[in-house]
Amino acid sequence: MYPDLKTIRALEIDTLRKILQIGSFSRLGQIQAAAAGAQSTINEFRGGVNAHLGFTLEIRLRGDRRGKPVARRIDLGALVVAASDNISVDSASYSLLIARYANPATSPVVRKIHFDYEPIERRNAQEPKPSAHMQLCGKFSPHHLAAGYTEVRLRSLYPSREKPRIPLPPTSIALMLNWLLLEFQTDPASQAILSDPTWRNCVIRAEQTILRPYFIAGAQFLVSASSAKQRFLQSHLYELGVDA
Amino acid sequence: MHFVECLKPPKRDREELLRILPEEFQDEAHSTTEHRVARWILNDLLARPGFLHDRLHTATALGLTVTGLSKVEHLFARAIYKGVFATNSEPRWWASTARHVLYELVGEDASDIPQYAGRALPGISEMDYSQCYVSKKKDPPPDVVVYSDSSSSASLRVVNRRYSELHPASVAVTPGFDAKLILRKSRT
Repeated sequence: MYPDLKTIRALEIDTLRKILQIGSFSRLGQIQAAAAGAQSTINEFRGGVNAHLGFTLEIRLRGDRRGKPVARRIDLGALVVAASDNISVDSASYSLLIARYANPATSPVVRKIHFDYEPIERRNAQEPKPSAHMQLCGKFSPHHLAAGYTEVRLRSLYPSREKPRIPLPPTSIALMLNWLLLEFQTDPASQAILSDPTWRNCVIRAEQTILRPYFIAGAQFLVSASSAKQRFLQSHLYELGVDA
Repeated sequence: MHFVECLKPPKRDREELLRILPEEFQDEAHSTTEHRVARWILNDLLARPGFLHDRLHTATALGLTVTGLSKVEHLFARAIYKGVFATNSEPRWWASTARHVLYELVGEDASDIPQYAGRALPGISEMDYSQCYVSKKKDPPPDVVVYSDSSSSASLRVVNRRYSELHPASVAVTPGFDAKLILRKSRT
């Protein structure tokens, strides 16, 4: 259901390279500098991924004055932890933060969510959770604090009230970025990037790597005669062995 | 004063222009000739879509034909490029300012997809909607401008992005500017 560590590393290195190769990404604030920095922290042959992309996107939200797009700071984080065998993934967490304005030091946080993956064999059996899920808010990472965010800006989102976990497919940097650009086409750079064939191929690769095994496994569960008496959510998404 | 000021860019574009400029233009007292600066402005900034859009790219970004754009062009006067080498005969618009003006005009209930939002501008009728050169459909609105082929005499066509691919001449990455696109050969 989830690729091995080597595959994830290769995918994320390639995505960061593509961000550097596509000229239109230069119009999203510091994203290319962040991608260059993140790329240098990933070892192609060992370990996990700890990347952080901070950038600016012109987003229009209903509450904005006269519906005008506002330049907002976006922080996209990827933390993939290697298991001790250095082959499989211990856990993966992709976070998204949207600030109200462009300056993280002075801006309230409008949204903070993260998409996690935790394999069944590495998690606490006493706390059932979907192997791949989305959660609201959660704490700041060291990257957020380094960017200038302060805990007080997060209080209105109740960071410690982080449940429930919502079952969703796993994700990657390319999938997250592509989703954001599709969602927020009010920034002129969004459509330019979405139209770029290099980016299109990068997203297709990410979908094939991350989403294909997830959906194939789900479809196989639903059509398989052996699982006909089992519930999809409990037995497949939560991977709870006994469907009682 | 840095020559970027002569371009009279909007605030956000100013910062981004300073970031993406070729290294030789980065310093205030740049180590290059005025001739090279002029060539960059003419051959890159004004010629390539990215920060600035010509009439066809501006119309396409608004979901309109060039004729349709002419009906609402006056509303976008604030977005017109007024920096060095600006001409009345071949105007350019700052893409970011045009987007701001669009959403000021159409209000908060308009679509986040600018092509649909542009079609809600006052005085625009269905006749003014842009049409995809390949599918001949106006909905979904075509969203990219591509070259018809790789020859030097190629025409520009407005198509849905699914009918585009990277132009073979688009080998080098130019920060800040959009990829050069060509009509896709296989259109299935």
